[in-house]
Amino acid sequence: MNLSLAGFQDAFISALYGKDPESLPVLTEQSGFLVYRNTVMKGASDALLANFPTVERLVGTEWLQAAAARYVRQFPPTDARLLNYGKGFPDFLDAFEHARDLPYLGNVARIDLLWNEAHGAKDEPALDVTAFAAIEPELLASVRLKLRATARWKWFAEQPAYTLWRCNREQIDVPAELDWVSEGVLISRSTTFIAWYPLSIGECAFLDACAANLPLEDAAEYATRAEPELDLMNMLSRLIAANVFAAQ
Amino acid sequence: MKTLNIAAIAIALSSVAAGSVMAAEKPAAMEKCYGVSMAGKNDCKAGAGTTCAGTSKTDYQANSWKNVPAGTCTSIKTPNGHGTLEAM
Repeated sequence: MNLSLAGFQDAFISALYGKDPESLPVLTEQSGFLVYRNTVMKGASDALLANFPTVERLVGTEWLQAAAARYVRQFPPTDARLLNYGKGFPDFLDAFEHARDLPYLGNVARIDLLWNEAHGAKDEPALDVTAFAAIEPELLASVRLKLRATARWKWFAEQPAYTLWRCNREQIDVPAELDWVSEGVLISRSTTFIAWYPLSIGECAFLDACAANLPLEDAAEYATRAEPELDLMNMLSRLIAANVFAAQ
Repeated sequence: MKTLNIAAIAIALSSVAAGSVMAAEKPAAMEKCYGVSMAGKNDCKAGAGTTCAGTSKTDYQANSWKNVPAGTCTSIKTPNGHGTLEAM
């Protein structure tokens, strides 16, 4: 065997995920290697279960472990930080034949993902609301509000994804008569906790516009166009209270 | 329309600034969020990737699929009916 270190590492990874088991017989023939491989697989699978606790409550541990085993083999981790593992899991669930009767599972997983992103996002100072409120009204229109990386939101068309997620996250019963309507979610991390809120389509449009670095005037325009009856005052109070805006 | 929007925002801002909405969040400019649990609100798992599985026997191949969802999904009614209890 005469491999460079990088060559050995590539062959090791390849053997680990069973892509090319013959590449390193001296390694793969050792019984210890099977233990190593199993531990890696189990670590990745456990990470998925830890990262998608709401999905786990919906389908049960055994089902999720079996689905995770498939996902891990198909999409092994590419980042050593397992907190980031499973970005493709919602899409996987959408396409998963055994989840066909659970069409909301992918979206519930998407909200778990938003939670993880808010959880792991970089710290940023919050907007100084007092200073912001002191801006002259005529200048306000052109202000561009920045959003903190700890704020994540998403709109789900034709699915009560937020209600399904929230009930299972909070470990309460899903209402028996569930309205099958579109819902949005906002997840935002504050100093000591992560909070979630329902979000209307106009509020989602407003946050999307702010994220696209549009001035306040345009963001408000987008929001009211998406939702003509939207109460901008109420929206802004809610968003400020949810701590979504970053310091200017 | 636009003028109206901005007027509403200006009023919202002044009322927010005058009120106590942001009182909860002051200095702590740099914040840490360790210990926020992933699952429920109070339980605490060690975190992703901390399992040590000293065995080669557990089957992570999952070639056969005998699993049926056994969580709360069975009680959720979609426009197309309940989640299935039968193996497919």
